[in-house]
Amino acid sequence: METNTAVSSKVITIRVNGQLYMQHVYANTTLAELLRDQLGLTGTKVSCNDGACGACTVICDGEAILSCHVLAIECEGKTIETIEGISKNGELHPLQKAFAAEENWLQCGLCVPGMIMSAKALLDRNPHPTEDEVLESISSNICRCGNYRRHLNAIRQVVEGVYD
Amino acid sequence: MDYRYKYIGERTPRKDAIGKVTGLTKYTLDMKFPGMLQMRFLRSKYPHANIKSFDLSKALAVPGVVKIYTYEDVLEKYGYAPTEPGGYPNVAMLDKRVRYTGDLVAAVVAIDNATAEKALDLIEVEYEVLPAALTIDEAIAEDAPIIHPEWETQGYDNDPAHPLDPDYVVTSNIIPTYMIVDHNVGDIDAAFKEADVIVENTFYYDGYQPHICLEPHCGVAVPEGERVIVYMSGQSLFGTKSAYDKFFGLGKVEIIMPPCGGAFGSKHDATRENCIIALAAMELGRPVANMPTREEEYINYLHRCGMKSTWKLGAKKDGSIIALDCINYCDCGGYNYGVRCACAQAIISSEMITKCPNQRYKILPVFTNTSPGGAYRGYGFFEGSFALGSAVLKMAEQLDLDPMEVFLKNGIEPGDEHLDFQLGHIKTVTSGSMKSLGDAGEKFHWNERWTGWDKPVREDEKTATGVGFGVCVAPRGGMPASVTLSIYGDGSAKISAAVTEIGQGTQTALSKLVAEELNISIDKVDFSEISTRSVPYTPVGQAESRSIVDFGNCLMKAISEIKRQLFELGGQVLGCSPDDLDSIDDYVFMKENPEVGIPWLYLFGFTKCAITVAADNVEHVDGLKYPHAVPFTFFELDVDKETGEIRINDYLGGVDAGKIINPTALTAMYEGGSLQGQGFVTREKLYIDKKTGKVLNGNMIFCGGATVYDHPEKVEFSFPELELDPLTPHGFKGEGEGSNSPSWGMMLAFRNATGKWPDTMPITPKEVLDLLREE
Repeated sequence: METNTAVSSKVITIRVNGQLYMQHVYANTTLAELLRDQLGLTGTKVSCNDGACGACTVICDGEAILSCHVLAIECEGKTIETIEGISKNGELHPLQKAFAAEENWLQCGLCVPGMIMSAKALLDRNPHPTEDEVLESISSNICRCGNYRRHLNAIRQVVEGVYD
Repeated sequence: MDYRYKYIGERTPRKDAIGKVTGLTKYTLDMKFPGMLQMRFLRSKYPHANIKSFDLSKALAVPGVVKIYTYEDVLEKYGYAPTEPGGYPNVAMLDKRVRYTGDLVAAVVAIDNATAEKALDLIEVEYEVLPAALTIDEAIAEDAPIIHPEWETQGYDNDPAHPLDPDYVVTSNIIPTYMIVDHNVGDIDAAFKEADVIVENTFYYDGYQPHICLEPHCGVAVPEGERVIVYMSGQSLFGTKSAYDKFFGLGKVEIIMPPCGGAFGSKHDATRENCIIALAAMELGRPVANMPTREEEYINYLHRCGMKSTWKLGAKKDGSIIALDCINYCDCGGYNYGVRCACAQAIISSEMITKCPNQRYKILPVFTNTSPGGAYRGYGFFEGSFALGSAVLKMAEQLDLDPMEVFLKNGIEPGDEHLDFQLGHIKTVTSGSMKSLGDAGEKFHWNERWTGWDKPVREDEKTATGVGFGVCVAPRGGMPASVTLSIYGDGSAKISAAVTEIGQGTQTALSKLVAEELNISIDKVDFSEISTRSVPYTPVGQAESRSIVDFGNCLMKAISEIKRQLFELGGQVLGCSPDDLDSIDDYVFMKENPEVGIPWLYLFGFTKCAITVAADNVEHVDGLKYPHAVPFTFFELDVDKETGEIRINDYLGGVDAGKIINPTALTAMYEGGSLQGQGFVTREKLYIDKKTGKVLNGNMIFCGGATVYDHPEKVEFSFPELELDPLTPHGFKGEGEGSNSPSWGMMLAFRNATGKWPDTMPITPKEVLDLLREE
């Protein structure tokens, strides 16, 4: 954990993937650092650390947020979902099945957790989004491999119930 | 009943998908070890300077700072090493001269990044600022400052033909190189005299686009006593090792490459940063990590090369090209990371025109005091194809010929011969046909949609619409590789090869090949860890769209020998000829009487653990014959005359793919590469200040890749299986680079829409509006 010798710190309670934690964080510890470095949940990726690429997307109180750009302290008392928490009893979430399907051929995979969480935040709120709403939900997720058509296809398949 | 497994050409899920969708795949980015330290780097604020002195006292006093390295610690003791096998010139981990704004000055090792950054601010450096050359033109001027004046810039590690000469004086920024600089075929001057039309223009490729890999160029060095293991986000396993072997001695550092979050060509070379972490791990006895910031990724970890290409082309009235002459300068930046080769590869775009009998080329890679460039998907030929494409199209325009006719007339066919720009001799093309362009043209309805040179497809006050196509030929495979393949009593197969997984799915593709040939389930085929300790040597890794061909050829050879040994053993045990036998899963049986058979486990009995075969592809690599592919893309695009934006309405892309292992993978690669290529033409540009050498837009907001909104809505593909190249396994050809290389076709579409020819790339809205306003 970062030492940050001149910065104040606090113990916060936070719920992550259904589990309650009490964690010691500094004032400038990001949520991404808390998840990855303290809780070992490295499924959430930090790529630009600038809020510009979406690889760090997690769900906070039902809303997709960029965890590299949100302070851990701001999430005190909140409920966080990460990619590690969306499968239940060993069974993949429909979005995970869709992204892993052959016709949706993912490539390097680094954008995928963030992409899935962005889509999940939309579908949890609105299981029947319009095409524009689906596009908008992943508009902040950069995929440099350029796999967008397949990511969109995966999300549409879930909307259509293909993986229920 | 058909009992054979069928994988080739069928749709098979990726073998690594589950790890990636659950977030459980561990990239180098995710690696953490107990006691791990972080390294951060002090970088030069001058484009060219000597370092006179340091004061590290304040920085060292920060609690949590463990060590600070400068050239004083490493230059004399460890010297210089190549960044890739045969790489040139060599680099030092830390040097006493800086050659670009952002070049390495010092390395701080601390318990965390915040502490390291605090220390960076407290390091005091005295520089002797030197004059800088920030563009190709400045660097080749007579009074240009010499960027690599030291003797170690010439000579190659262990190459007796090019020994180091301490008295050699470097007088130019053109990289001295063993690669052929001057190529000359036929009689170019006579040919120009006979030409009916001559086109000459100088084209600048000015994009310098960074790769923007989502996973940075990270490395983690873990000391083990006898050696240091470096986990690295990389694509060329042994390519990177040569630097470590030279700095530290053979066997002192071994490399493991976990699944990589994007490389696109930027991760072939050992980086100096990832070498210093190995040194720190050795000296401090603790794991040390390099996790580059996103800004560092733009400044330091390579980008497309700038090029200045002057093409002169001579043709007859009917469009036959009889003379091609090019002087190609390539901007390496402050160091050479494979760029000499990129410069040569730029001329490879001339392989579109194999019918031209008179050719002359001069290949001149140049150092400048800017961020170093390197390999990027479409290595050199992407940049070079704009320049040549532009010359050919202008010729077609002058002669009022349909550009499609010109390419079909002059273009490549199997059996054609062409210059090999790396080796300097004439090579034969064993596959690769311009016919694929012609066939796709029919699918795109080119004849109906091309409105000629005089008018756009349509135009109104706001928008002009045009169509165009691009094509870009390149070799696929023909480089050495090696594998080890084993089968075990449990019915499984293990592939040991330097096949890093950078997103293309090559491990899945090669597993399919093995599974089908050995007639076992793909679930029983796996790769060993991609580690220099476990896989056989292959100098260049995932590069140049060659893995399927080169590793595939090795595997075919290994499979053939494994089957021979398996059936010979089976024949002995079952009392029949090996030719009478077949195998499915782990069961060897008589073809005529399948009940007579024996499982592999019992066949091996107590005397054999496995059948293991090592194989190379030497029969397919002679430097004289290469498989080629002809990727193409047809575009229809709108030019917004008010905003300067270019929007693609639809495109048809593809390549003469030969036999396709993974149809879905091929389409996915093509879509992704095309999107990158389109971005390089219309949106992406790295702005390097021409006075200070500073990268001005080094972040994802101002220089970002395409978003979901940038993806064209209407896309179509064509992957004709034309000839099956005998040099390739089953007729497979690699893919990876072909998808973005034909993007120069957007230039033709732009000309069709607006009547204007750009002479630089990219054409962002600013350049578009400037062109439209030109008289």
